[in-house]
Amino acid sequence: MNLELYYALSKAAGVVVTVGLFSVLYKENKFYRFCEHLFLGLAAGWAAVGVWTESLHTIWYDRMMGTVDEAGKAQSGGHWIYAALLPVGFMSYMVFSKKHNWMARVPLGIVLGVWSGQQIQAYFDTYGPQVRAGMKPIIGTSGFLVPGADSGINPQVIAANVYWSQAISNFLFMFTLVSVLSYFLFSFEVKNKIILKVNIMGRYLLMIGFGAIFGTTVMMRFTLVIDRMYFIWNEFFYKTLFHGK
Amino acid sequence: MKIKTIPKYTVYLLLVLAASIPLFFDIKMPNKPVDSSAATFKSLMTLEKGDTVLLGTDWTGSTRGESKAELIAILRILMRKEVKFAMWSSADAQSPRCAQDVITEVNAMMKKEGSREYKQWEDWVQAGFYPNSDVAINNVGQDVKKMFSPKRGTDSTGKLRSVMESPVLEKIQKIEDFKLVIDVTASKTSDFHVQFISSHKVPMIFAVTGVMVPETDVYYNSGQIAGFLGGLKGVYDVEVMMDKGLNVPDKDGKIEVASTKVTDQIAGFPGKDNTGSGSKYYPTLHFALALMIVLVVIGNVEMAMARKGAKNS
Amino acid sequence: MPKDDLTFMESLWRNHRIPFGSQYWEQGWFGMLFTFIFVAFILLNIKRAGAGKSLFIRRIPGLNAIDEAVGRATEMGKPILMVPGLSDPVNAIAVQAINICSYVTKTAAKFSNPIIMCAYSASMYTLAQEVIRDVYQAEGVPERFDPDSVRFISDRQFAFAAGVSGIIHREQTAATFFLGEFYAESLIFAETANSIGAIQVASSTEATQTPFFIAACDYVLIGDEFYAASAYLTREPVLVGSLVGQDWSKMFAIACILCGVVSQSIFSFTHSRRVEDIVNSAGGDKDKIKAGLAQLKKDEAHQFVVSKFFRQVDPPEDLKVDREKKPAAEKSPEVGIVNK
Repeated sequence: MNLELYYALSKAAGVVVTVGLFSVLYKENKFYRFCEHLFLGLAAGWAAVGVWTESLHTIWYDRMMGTVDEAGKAQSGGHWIYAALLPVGFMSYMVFSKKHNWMARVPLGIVLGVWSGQQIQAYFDTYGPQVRAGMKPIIGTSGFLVPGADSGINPQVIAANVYWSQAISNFLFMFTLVSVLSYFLFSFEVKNKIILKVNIMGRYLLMIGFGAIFGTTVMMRFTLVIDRMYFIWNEFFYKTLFHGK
Repeated sequence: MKIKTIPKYTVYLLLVLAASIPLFFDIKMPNKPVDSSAATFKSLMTLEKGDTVLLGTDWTGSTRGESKAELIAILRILMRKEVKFAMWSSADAQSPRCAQDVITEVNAMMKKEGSREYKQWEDWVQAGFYPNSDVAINNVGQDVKKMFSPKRGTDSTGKLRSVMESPVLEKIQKIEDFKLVIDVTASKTSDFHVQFISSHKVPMIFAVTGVMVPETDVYYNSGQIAGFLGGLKGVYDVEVMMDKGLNVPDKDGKIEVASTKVTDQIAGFPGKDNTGSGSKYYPTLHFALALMIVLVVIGNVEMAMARKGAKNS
Repeated sequence: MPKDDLTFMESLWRNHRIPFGSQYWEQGWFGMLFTFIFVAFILLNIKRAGAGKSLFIRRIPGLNAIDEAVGRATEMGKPILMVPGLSDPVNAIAVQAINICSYVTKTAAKFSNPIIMCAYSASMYTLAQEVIRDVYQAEGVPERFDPDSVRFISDRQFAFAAGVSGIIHREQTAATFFLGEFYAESLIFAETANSIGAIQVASSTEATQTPFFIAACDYVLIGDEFYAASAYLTREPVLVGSLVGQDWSKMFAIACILCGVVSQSIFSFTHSRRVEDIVNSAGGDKDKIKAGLAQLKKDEAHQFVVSKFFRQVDPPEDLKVDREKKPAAEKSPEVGIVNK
């Protein structure tokens, strides 16, 4: 098969499967089901091959067995201790055994332990700078609006001052941060009216935030649809079938 | 919310039309790059010939519309500036293949514009896929040499050698030796980069999907990353800046593409083909979004009228 | 002897370039202290809860919906579908999700309601099998546990989404529970279940996905409510204690931020005045201003500001790459940065 025909067929398959998966919008049907299972099968096959060729072979098998060059000369020695990982991994399969299923908990425990340890390591690196960035001045030191570069005021003075428009913006930021955080306190029954109102405000501000997130995500989803349309109309029909430039 | 007056299938058809027809036309859009895109552009343009960057590619065909476009834009800059890069993935076993296809595509583009071909081993290396993103990224942060050493590649004489011996990585001892760490991602690897690499003194930029913009903005505003490209808007921004530069005045002294956050004058690549998916999809996106706004308005009016009718009856 | 011929232990000790434990020290003493204060709060409260002290947790409205959803599935005689998120590998979020799912299973087991649990990763599948089997055993009906009710679908995100959507369509599930880490596939699940009229309870630890669940699901646990849910439902001392510990930690963080805001406001006030004085007294002499500002920076280095304790991150404007000086001729005239 020549390369051009191969690309044309692969693109045609892409178009058929795209239409198949979109067909669920009409109703659940056999065509959709076929495409769904094709997708699942391909993904499973790809993952199995990909994890071995791209990853396990290099970072586990080669380290265990050592490597040789094209002439068969040793490049690096193997370390037998990597073989010890195999039984640990196999313990996961014990979940299918009624008698020995407890063994499956060993690798799970290791993974969970590593994850928890890493979280302690990463906690401050993740949130420390964010807490710092939340410490913004909320009192203005000069006029209301930030002067422009053409105002004649020394830029260093402009940078050092906090203008009231900035201070208000900082206050809103701080208020949102604190009110949303207080909304997620669970071990207190809030009875104080002011704190209760701050709590409710926190919920509303959270919803405004969710609205903004919704907007960016809708844009992303449309981009994906547009890309599929481009693939069908331009890459397949125009360029592949009609050999457009 | 259900639109009662317009059948569901009509809405689907309208969406397909809105997402297809504008693709056939060359529509120019006015654009002001957002701060994060301008900062990303600056980070990329600060690189010099011979520098080495670590390029994480953690996306697959599912987010092709955004991630591929972002990677193309980044690769165009890296290749034009002759910056070497080590590519690696930790999110999905399919990611290295997707990225390699993009490199082939960009190489063809470069060839078309008369630039030299970017060769694997000499100019870029594939440092592999590593499962368990968090552990993998932590390891790269702690000891990149140890992490990538077992991965072998074919050198220019056809011999299999460790990628750390390649011209790309031979001088790299630790993560700080990279001039920039980039992650083109549609997954949680951006969080892991912040968790495990931000403590090292190496600038980092991300190219994320539209969904991830709000959370990545937090990292940008707190200074944990130097910049990021967010979805299609980010791609369009960088394509425009590649074409027209940033803060660069034209013959009349007028600055067409300006940023208040990044004040440096940064020349792009004028005269070269800088268009990509951003320029193609961005106008179409506006048509699709306009359609959605119209439908939301119709739906709300319909609902208000239905409620009013129910009250009256 | 080449390096690679060292034994594993030798290579570990000799070649390890990074001292053990250095990853913790990278964050500085305050970072470690900050983290361990949080850890201490949690451990202390777990101990309090374990000692029998009754710790209060406020009611979470979305949780009542769980019984309602299971009840409706029982009435309709249709299965309940649960997806404990897309965590890979298993982490604390997955464990929390499984905890809530085990509560749902417990309720379903009482009414002999069929369940389907879809696992995204091999480790999640193992964990889910274990926990669900335990639930049926604890309820005294081990014979009702169907091993096929816990299914591994795929560990590729959108293949998983397609698989779960297919199951929702085919099994016509009456109630669906999406709890845990969800990403772009969240709306696909929620919309599919919505289209067949299933009652849906959902929660995503990813803030970016919560809006979709809010739009398409009947009940949503927002943010940390997800973590609180398992403590509220199970009343296990470890979960209750850690929830209260987290509350203390949040209050500590709020206090830090408020103190930081106050100190930053005071600092800004004095700092701006000093800068103005330096600029005014220099009378336009740029060198004098530069020297004055450098001296001010030195003086202010010893000034107490809360934010100093938190990691200093260079702002994006300061992005600088240390590099060797190269001859000017090597620089490309076309694409370099031209500073104003």
